[in-house]
Amino acid sequence: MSTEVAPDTQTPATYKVIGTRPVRHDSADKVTGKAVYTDDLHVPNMVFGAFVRSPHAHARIVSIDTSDAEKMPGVLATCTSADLPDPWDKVDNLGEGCVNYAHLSGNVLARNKALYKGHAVAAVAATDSYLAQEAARRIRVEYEPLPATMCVQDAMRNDAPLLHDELITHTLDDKPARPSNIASHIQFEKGNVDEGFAAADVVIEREFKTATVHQGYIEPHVSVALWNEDGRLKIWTATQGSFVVRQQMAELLKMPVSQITIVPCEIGGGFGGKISVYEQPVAAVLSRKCGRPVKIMMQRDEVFEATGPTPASFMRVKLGATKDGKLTAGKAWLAFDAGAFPGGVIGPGAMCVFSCYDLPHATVDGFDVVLNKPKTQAYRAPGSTHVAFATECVIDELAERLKIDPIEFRLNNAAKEGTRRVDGPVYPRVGLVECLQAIQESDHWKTPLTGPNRGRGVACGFWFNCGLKSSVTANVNADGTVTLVEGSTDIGGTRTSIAMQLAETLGITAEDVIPQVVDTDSVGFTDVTGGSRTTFATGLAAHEAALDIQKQMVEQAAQIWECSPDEVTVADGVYQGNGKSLSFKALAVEADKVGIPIVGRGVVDPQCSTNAFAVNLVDVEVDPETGKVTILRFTVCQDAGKAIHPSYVEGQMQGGSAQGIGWALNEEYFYGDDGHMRNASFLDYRMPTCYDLPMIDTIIVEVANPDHPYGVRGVGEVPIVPPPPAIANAIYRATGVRFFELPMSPPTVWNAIKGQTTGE
Amino acid sequence: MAIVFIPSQLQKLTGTAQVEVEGDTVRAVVEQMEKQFPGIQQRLFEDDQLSPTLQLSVDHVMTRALSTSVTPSTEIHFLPVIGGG
Repeated sequence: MSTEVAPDTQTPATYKVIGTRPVRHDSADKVTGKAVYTDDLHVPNMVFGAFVRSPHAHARIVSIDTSDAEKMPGVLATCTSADLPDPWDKVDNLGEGCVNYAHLSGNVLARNKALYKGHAVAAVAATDSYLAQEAARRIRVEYEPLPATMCVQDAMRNDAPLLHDELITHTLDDKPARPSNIASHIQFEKGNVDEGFAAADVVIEREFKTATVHQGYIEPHVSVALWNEDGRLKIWTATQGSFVVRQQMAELLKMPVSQITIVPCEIGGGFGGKISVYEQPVAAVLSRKCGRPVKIMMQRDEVFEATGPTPASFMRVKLGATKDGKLTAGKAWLAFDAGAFPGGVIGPGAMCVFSCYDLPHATVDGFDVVLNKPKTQAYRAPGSTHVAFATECVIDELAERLKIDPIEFRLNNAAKEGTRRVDGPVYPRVGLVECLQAIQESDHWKTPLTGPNRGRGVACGFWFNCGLKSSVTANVNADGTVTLVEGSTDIGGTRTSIAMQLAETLGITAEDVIPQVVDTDSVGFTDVTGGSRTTFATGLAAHEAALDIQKQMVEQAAQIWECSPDEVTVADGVYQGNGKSLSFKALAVEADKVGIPIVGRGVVDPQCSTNAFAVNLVDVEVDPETGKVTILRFTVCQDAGKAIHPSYVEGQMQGGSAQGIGWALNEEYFYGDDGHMRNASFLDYRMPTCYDLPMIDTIIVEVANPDHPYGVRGVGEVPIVPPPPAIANAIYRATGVRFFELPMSPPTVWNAIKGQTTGE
Repeated sequence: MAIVFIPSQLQKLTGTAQVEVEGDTVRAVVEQMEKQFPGIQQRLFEDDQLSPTLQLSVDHVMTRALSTSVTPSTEIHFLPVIGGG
């Protein structure tokens, strides 16, 4: 792997901790297998839960008979939707998107109708997991099968089977009179699109489709619930956001948040898929009914069929440009599969579709469409990967038609400070131009690609990134170390990236900070680890906590040195006053002897997007005999603002790229005519492995974010966005065939090549 | 006073894509808009609060707080809420 920081973009500030690569604080636990994941927990008297799931993609539930299961020795409780409080039709904002609790409750356990194959209908708790699974098979559910709709375009038809009899399209416009499967319609307009296309010398319009894709986290959903005799509920779980789980549990079970404690265990991946609750409320109800702690762990097929993949989509994108390579207008029509309940990712998809470019005129229409598949959820930069595939392929075709270098064409139209997005807001300082220039300067770009059946592609991507609420406390210990208590679950090394910001501010080493991720009773409210927000926002909270500590240390130093706090100065972690000097550690030791405990506090709610851009450069070779695409070389360039721990930034860039390569080349849900997923296992759901990927080269661009003291932007999401179009553009140059549908799997590529050679 | 960018689906109420409206906060601006363009507030609000499906872009600030202060040069946009992975 080669990794470089684009030299012209480095922030001028020099740091002692930030930008270095200390060993992560949880490394020993992780590499020795001692880290505690939820399934490692064995609470005394714990029993095990299992689900009964719908075998139908769409069916009315006529009856549920649990009596046979309940007679089995060792079976302690059963549960259906009747055991959940009546849901209220309340839409709540969870910080990261909104949720309708009636829909959420109906997704946790089906009410009246099963809306997708695998939809949970009932559950059972028993003394061992095998007994629980057998008891689940003894629960008799009578169904009345209904016609299902599995394709977003079919579901939008007037004669499509309705999933929800009373679903009226949500729109700011006049609401339609009749229900449909179109959950919402959003629209953006900028300028006069007709005038824009009239001014174009070249106009290209294409239609695109993408498949349902799962996040593929290695750890399945798993929780342990203990509903105690005192009415308090405790849940250990694998989640991206313990406070958001608490909020959902309180609403679904209609109990105060103060009665619920969520303990976040180590998490084996999430990528947006571990924010919504699934098994947690069911484990809680079973625990309440049987009086014992209940563990529920999903099997892999349950994860595929009944959690939240990213949507399939149908998109139509039209762009116009002048012959000198200036974009004049764009038009997008986007329909995303929400799954069985409203609330997919069409909003950000519609906002991102033209977000990389300065378009004077554009319209965007976006539709959120329910159908008989699992409720979709976020997956790194939700919605942006879909629309980048469409836009970046059309951009590439425009550049080719105009005989302009694809990077120069993008640079000529790239969004920059002052560019107004089609959805309205104006960008502050952003780093897309710097990323494109860094790719132009890369060894990869300067090295010609030669050989038959080979091609090179480029593409851009955008994600907003967000701020939201974070809280930390930091306790100065008697030995001069600092224990950092935080509520952000650690995905991808955030313990260390946050600890490094505290250390930098205090002038101590990263190793002298001891980060701890704690439960919801032990730290202030903290939003999810998602949205590329954690190193940015929780890091900001850590910076504030460090400043709070520094202020208290100055006061303690003044007391020890018998001078005024105004006479104490701090530089590089050294405190000086009244002719004396002590390091942070030495002062902490002295302060512990004479002063009150020093506890720093940081609470933040930064309300800004930090605006991340990434650019990919990809070389591929296509085997004309099999259609298999081999990635020869892959470079990802991304504006990180400031890379706190470059290894973790590179890890996110490489991980997101690997997942984007999976979207591009292989990953998809295969559904039969009966609405059953045919490949609900890692054997058949084809994710990339180390045999499929080259070492992914990274170029970190650092255009400092003005809304963060160290310039952090956040890095986790945008690297998944450009790989599909970059690979599609590379395959085109290798084969002469443009692809408009994901994945570009060997059969698809082979058929297209064959069609080209036979004229079909 | 603020510059409000009207969502395209509401422009039939305003007849224009942008309006300048009096008010010191976002809430005051929306209430003033309601006086000028009756019916617009109920499209944007639920239970006297911003619809949970919407967020505000007030200059560079992404917020749902109707108490956010505005100045004559402030831009207000109504956008869908978004989530990340």
